[in-house]
Amino acid sequence: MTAWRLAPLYVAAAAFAIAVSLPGGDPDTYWHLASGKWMVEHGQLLRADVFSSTANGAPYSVGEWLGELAIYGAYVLGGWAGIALLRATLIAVGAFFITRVALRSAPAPFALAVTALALGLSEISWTDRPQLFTFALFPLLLELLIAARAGRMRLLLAVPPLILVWTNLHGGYALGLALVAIFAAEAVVTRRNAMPFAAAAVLAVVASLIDPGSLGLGAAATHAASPPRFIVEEAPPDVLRPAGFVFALFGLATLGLAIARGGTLLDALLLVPLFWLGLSAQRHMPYFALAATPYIAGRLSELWWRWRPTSRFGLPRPAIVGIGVGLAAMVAASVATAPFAPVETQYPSAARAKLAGSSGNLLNEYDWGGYLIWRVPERPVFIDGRLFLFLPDVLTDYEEMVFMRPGWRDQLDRHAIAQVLLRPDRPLAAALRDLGWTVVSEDATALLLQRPSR
Amino acid sequence: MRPLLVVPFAVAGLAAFAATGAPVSDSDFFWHLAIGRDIVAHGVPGVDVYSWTVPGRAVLPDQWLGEVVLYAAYAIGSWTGAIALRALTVGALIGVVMWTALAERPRRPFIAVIASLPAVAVSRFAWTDRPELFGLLCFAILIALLRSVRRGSFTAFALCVPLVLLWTNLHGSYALGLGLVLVVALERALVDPSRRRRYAAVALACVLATFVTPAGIATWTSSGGHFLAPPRYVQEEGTPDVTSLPGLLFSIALLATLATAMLAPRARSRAVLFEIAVLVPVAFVSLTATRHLVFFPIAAAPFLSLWGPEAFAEGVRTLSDAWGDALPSARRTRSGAAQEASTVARALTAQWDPRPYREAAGEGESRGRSVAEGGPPEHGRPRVLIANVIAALVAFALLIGGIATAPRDPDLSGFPIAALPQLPAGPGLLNRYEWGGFLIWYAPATPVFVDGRLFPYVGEALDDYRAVIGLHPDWRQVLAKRGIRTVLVAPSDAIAVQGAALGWPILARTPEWVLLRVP
Repeated sequence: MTAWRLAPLYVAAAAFAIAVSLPGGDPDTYWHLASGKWMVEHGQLLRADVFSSTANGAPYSVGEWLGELAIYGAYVLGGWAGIALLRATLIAVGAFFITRVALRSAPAPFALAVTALALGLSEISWTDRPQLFTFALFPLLLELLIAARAGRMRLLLAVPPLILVWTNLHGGYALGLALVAIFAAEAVVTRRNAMPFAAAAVLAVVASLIDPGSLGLGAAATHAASPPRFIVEEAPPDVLRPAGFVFALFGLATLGLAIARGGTLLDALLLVPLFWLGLSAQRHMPYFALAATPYIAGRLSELWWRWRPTSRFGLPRPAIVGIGVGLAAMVAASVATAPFAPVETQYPSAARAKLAGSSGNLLNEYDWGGYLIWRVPERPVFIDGRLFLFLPDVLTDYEEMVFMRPGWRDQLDRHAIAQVLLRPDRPLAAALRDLGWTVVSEDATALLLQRPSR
Repeated sequence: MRPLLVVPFAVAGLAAFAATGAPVSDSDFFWHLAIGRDIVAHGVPGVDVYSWTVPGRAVLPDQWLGEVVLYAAYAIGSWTGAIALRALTVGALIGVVMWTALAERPRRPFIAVIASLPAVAVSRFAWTDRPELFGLLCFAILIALLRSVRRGSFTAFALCVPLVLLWTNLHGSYALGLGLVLVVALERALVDPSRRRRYAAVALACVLATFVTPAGIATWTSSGGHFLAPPRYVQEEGTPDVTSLPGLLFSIALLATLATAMLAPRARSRAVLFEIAVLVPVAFVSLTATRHLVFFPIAAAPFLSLWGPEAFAEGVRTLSDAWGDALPSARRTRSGAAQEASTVARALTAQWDPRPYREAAGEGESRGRSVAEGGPPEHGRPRVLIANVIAALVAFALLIGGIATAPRDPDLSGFPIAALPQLPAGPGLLNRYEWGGFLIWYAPATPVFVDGRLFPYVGEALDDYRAVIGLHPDWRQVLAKRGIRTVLVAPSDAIAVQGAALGWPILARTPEWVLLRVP
């Protein structure tokens, strides 16, 4: 069994190799990068919008400032390769700790199988954004809390500083606070180490307040209760698609195993709310899967042993060494061959030069805002992925124009839109052509239209 | 002895009364009604006769019986007849759900009500005048039958055959029922191997029953295709949203079931296989689309009724074991507090005797007697009968009272009623999707472009509809290709906005709709 102690390292290496091979290109990566760059160049936190024409100067949340600086730092150090390596490292950290957590409750074959499935599901959130820090820190905190519950109480001392850093890295720290609160609640209800856990929870809450512009727990709760559904990752899980199906597998496996084998109070306190969270939006699905991994692996192994009580799981030492060597080679090959440059085929690359060489207010696709902020910084965007900055008025105006609701022409004039950069199948694109707007640039991805001179 | 029926009757009566409050207003009801009328007049149709975009295309008569029943109700009592049918079906549905929960814990009607609340509440969103409601009732009956099977009744399993036969002809949701019958047959074969041939025979009979429909084997492809690739752009086919009210109610049932399963210590008997066989597949189906949300709370109600109090009592026991000696009450000891917790647990789970449950659940030692049957003692039977009869009369009175006060006319405020005189006869109208059913019934001389039957239109007709209404790049070509002469859409639709901008003549207009002539 000792050989299996290397399993977390092996899983982390495999996750690293896969993650580093994935192409970047998430639209939000660009505005996070731009924010980090602005903060470095100006030597201060970015507290007001500087990228858009519609919310320019409006107060701007700095809740993820440290995450943005980290991403920009990686970019400065290694370009897009630096970002890919940061991504792969954070995913490897998450993979390492979730494997450790799973191995605490089940033999390696079960732990590794369920962990692999959970990591596969989590791939939907492997984008170059501060949320990667949450992906790494969630399993780390879970491991800390489980180890503390098992008797290593000193580990609780690490919880408040961890939450402090997490709070400044990404808004997902609320998930960390919830984890600490759940463990504290269980400790209080069962009266086992109630004081240390309660103290850790209180100190974690205090630590979460040390942030120049925290998202705030209220805002996090509001976000969870009413996510903006038009953003794909904020939409409810679709269990007939691969990621949603795997999430459903985790949910239904948990339900089935709970009926068959039951669970502890901690299992219920942990998995019931996280299941709801996962059901609420696709971006939250991985956290339920990660939290359910030790439960599912543990209960599956119990069932296995009832069926095959004499089973033994072991690997010969040469195999362990062989796997290790193979993984090392895989990591090296992945780093050497990784496509570090982001894939930008979904962006209006062909229109970049024309955009940079012209002026006036631009109406752009929501999904392209981040790309434009980074690639065409001389043209302020109408809207981008920093959603909350644009709620509600700018987003309403955007939808009114792009989807051609009554009054769209007034909005176009009110915002003095000189150019429109949209997908060719947008109703507005067809209407503006009819109205004689000039086609400046056109391809299968994007259409750039210029208002005719009066 | 049956569980006391007072509560199921009372709640069913109240639900039936509540169901009569809303007027007829579902767009799909109108095309179901038209099909029902035409079936009665000409027999089951094989091709489309209501549209000008897919005329003559083969259509699947997979809900023919449901449509005939709807039309029969309308023919008997006009719109009030339709409402009466809805109320009757809703009352039966809620009564069956409540009875199934109560059967698991006969002397705790309050617990049965609590356990059924999510199902009752979510079902409210399915109280529409469509064959779907009949399918829901069939599902509730199937759950009741299957739970009787778990308690040892083979007759209940045999009754699944006529139920599936009827269901197949009423609504496409029969596929879920058939799936459950097959899974439970497998579970029974494992738990009760001595009867496995009989279970297999019933399962096979159920499969064969699904072919006894005018749609034949095509009814399988229809249900399967619908389930695996639901049209997400139709609201009720969208992914379930747990931040909406129906989604929240569903999630309450799902998470309560999960928490109960984890915490109820005595739930882990051999009967777990049955619970897994029923709850896990139904949970998956519920997660596939908003319209399926209601299935899980119905299936989970009896489980929650049976084990919910156990889980709650376990929580109380845990808290008491840990904190008994710290409670403020003087001279209270930890063991004393634990005893009090046990008392609470006993009170919550009163009359629960695990022995007959376990016997009936798997060991096959108890065949005839119902599980957890704690019903009233023999000398109380006349009183029970009287109580049940009174409750039934009250429920009936509520139903009649509701029908008597139900709205006499349909609510057409969401439809372009004032546009009807302006509609040109013959082909050429592009209408909004959700008004198609309304037009089929109220403007039979004007065939529709598209309507809620959806599947005949999937492909070119639906693509063309979206191209025009959403002003896609090829919208002008589609207009010309199809020969669209008039457009009946919402004023906020892109085609309406653009049509107005292009100066198309407005034939009629209200804040809700606009009728434009295409030059």
